[in-house]
Amino acid sequence: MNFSLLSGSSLAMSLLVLGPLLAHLASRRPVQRRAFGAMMLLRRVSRKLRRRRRIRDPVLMILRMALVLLMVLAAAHPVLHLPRQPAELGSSGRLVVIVDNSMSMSAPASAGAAATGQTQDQSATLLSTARSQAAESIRRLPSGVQVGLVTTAGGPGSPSGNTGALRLTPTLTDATKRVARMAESIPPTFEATDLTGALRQSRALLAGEPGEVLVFSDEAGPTLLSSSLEEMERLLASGSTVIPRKLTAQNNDNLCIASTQYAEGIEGGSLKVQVLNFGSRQVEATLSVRLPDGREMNAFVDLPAAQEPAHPSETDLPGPPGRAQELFTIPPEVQGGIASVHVLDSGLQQDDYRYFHLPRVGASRVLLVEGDPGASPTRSETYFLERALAPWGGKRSGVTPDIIGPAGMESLDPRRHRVVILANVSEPGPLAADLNAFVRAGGGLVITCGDNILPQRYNSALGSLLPAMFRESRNLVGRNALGVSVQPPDTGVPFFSPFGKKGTGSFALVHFYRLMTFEPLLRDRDSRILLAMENGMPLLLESRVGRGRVLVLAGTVDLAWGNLPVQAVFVPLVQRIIAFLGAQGGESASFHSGTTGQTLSIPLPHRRLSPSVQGPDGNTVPSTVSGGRLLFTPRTPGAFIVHLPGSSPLAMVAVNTPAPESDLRPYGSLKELEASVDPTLFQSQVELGPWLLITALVLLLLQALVASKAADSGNGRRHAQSVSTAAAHGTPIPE
Amino acid sequence: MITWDPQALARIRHLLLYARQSVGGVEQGTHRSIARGTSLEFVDYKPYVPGDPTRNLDWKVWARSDRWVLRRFKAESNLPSMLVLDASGDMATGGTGTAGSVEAGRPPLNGSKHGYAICLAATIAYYLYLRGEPVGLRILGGREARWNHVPPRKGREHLGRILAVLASVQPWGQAHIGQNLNHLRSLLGRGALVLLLSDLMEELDTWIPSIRHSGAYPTDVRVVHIQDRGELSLSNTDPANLFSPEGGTDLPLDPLAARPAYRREVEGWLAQVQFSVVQQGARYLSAPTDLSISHLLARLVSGASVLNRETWS
Repeated sequence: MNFSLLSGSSLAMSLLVLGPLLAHLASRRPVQRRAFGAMMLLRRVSRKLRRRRRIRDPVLMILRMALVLLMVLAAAHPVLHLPRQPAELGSSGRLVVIVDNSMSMSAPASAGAAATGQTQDQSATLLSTARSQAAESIRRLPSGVQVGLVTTAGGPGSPSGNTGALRLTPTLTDATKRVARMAESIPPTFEATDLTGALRQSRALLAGEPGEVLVFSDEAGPTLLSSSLEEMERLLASGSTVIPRKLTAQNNDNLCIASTQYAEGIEGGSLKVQVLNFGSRQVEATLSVRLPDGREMNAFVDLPAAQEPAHPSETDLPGPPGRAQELFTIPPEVQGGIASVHVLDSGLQQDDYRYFHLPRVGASRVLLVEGDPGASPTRSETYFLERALAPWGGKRSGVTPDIIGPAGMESLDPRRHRVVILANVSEPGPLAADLNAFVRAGGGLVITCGDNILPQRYNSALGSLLPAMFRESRNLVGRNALGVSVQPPDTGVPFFSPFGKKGTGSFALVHFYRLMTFEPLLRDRDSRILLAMENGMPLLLESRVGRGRVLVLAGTVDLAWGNLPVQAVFVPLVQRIIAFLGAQGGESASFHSGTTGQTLSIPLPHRRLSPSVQGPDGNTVPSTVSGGRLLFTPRTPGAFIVHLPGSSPLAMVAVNTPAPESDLRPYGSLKELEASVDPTLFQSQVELGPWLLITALVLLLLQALVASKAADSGNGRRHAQSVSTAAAHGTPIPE
Repeated sequence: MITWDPQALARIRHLLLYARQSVGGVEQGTHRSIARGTSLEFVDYKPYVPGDPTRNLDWKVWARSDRWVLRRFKAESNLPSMLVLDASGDMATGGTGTAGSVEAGRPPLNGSKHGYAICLAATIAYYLYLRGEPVGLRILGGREARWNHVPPRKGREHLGRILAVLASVQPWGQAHIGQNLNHLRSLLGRGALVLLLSDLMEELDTWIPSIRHSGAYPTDVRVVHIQDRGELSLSNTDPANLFSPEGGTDLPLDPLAARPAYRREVEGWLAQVQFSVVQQGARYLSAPTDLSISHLLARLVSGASVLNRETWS
């Protein structure tokens, strides 16, 4: 039972209650002037007297204030809300039963919920309880009631991932026994709860007619209720009612892996794993990282308990979960692929794994073609590149450069080498065919310039790979001048992202006084300028050919044309270029991510390809090809591989469970949501306005009575005073 | 040419009647006991020198010894009494005193502080007249009085003069008690008894030093404090803009709210007045306006009263 005001703004008139108070105070203001012989004494206490003002006829004033207050309250249309008894199930003759079969419903049910569902098994899940209760409710319906069945997950899915609701009965039917059996066989899923879709399906089943919607759900998750508000409003607007049957899990303690983030480094990579604890107790959990080559790494992580709500107004909502993160070092020789992290916990088992992409770590082999050995180390590109690629030796750095002369190109092995560097090679013609195939197959090619470069030879031999045709080398300044500096790079480009934290300023210290010049960029190979000089001349250019990339440095990597090799940015820049070309750019398969129940759309290299999708269990997953894209809906988490029969994978898809399903804690209730939409479903209202007006009328009469008595006593007092005055002056006594 | 308004004349008659009634009720027949000459008491002889009055020559001594000697007697004390009447504006209030009555003219004899004070003054003057003692009158403040100062004299005609002044004076202005007492002391020039009839509504430090009993001819000051109980208890309940007839700003007042603090102030003030008067060697007598004048006169002439002769000399 509670109380509300239909016209709360009318309460602003409650200031009128001050009227009687002011009137009674004003009535004490003197209206006559009278001589007083002891003013000397009175003035001594006048300061205190000004602060005090007694109210005349306080009872009358209280009556009048109450009268005003009652009338203001009556004007505000106060309404008393009383709880309304729920109607019998099936009374409307049309019933839709929604069973939540999302992943969170696989949690163990509490003892009470299991008993209610007549499933005494201690291992009963929320879903099994919901199925039992739904079937029981359907069987107990009065005869003649038409019933339908809808699940919140397992539907066709969509790219947005919110059409998982599935209508199990095409229309309402009076075959209640059959529908009950269907309810008992609803399968569990790894998918998210699509309550919105389920309500929409229910509305479709009811076909706009009033009916009842019985919802068996754990009502867990931060977004479940808020997202379904609009559909709830539509359903209630059609005259239907929603009857929630909330199921409570044994406990809300659950751990899940929120994210994995891989970062490349010179000595391999690092994997940052973030774990959430939704439970109220601090726990220690074991994390296991399983790499694509089968190796495992384990760690323990201490997880704090979930916090209290941060804001006082959210006391009825759960607080933020406890968070912890663990770093794993990935060895440099690991092959790329889909890896997984596993957290062991006693809560929901379905979300214990998280799958993620692990790029090929490092470029294990770099073929360095030395075009100009140089008379001294400062004139040798190899000297500087060798030290930049493997500062601590090849094995420890993960990069092992194979140094050859231009004549030794036959040693290029696409299975071993990921990157080829042509360092000031004068004649690329003999290498052209191998390099072309190497790049198109996914290899990386880096060309650095120097005095040996002949533009015509490069244009003719490697013209199909270059981002722009070579023009000529040109001095930028005089021989003894400092040279032109390099512009700060765009840190949004992956090559330069490590320089984002105050590192770009170091590029201004790099100077060149001679550079190769180029024709305009060739747009058919996605050419672009990655680095430019202060005068606008391009320094580092990139093109994408086939699956590979080609980088051209317009300067030298020795001290012949500039000072790049002796600047601080040289080693990290070379490392980044080689790591990127060798790992990311070198993989043939594309990487994708998705969640269970979400329809994934994978772009295909060619429109005519018809690849298949292999699921985590090795079985083929149903898929379709439309408009050069492959569409499929994963139902379980894991690694999904898109491939053509007998060839390397086209795409690798890491599929994980929806994150909101891991949070088993309730964020409000369906009943509260329904009450917020239409409070009259749960409450009956009593208008208090007329009763207040009657009470005000009684008070009006009462105050009139008290006022007349007060007036009589006042008149008597004044009469006595006038008689006394007359007697003193000898005038006739007034009647 | 002196003119009398009828109200003043009627007042003289009233005052005289009032005085006779009051005195008669207190010491009936006292005036008959006053015999001229009987109060003279022989002291010694002195030789006659030319110019001495022959009335006191002792003829028997001259007959026996042929010497001219004069009989000398103890001198009569004959201490003059001076009635000092406060006729300031504040005295117009009290009882049924209202703004209207204050502005209309003389307050009624019955109820107002002024009426009570002039009735008391007339009674004392009459009493002293019957005793054959000189009595004078000085008016503090006031207006339309025939004379503001009547020096002490004896006799019926003098009594009539005093009554005329009492009947004609209207309360007005301020009393300036302290200044007037100092000035009166210089006018009297010899010892006298000063009877101050006032509501004492002036700050104590302005007049208390003036009543000190000192000097070659000490002036004995007796203070009769005229009090209106209604005024000092703030008995009126209706809010009003109160003002002092002596001037100053109005004070809007709710008596119900002011009463407790005001009464505490009045109690303190009364105690302070009484203490200060006695500390200066003067005498203090409280005279509420609802106390009958004959009763008050009886207190005055009783053992420790102001008018007891023994206490005067």
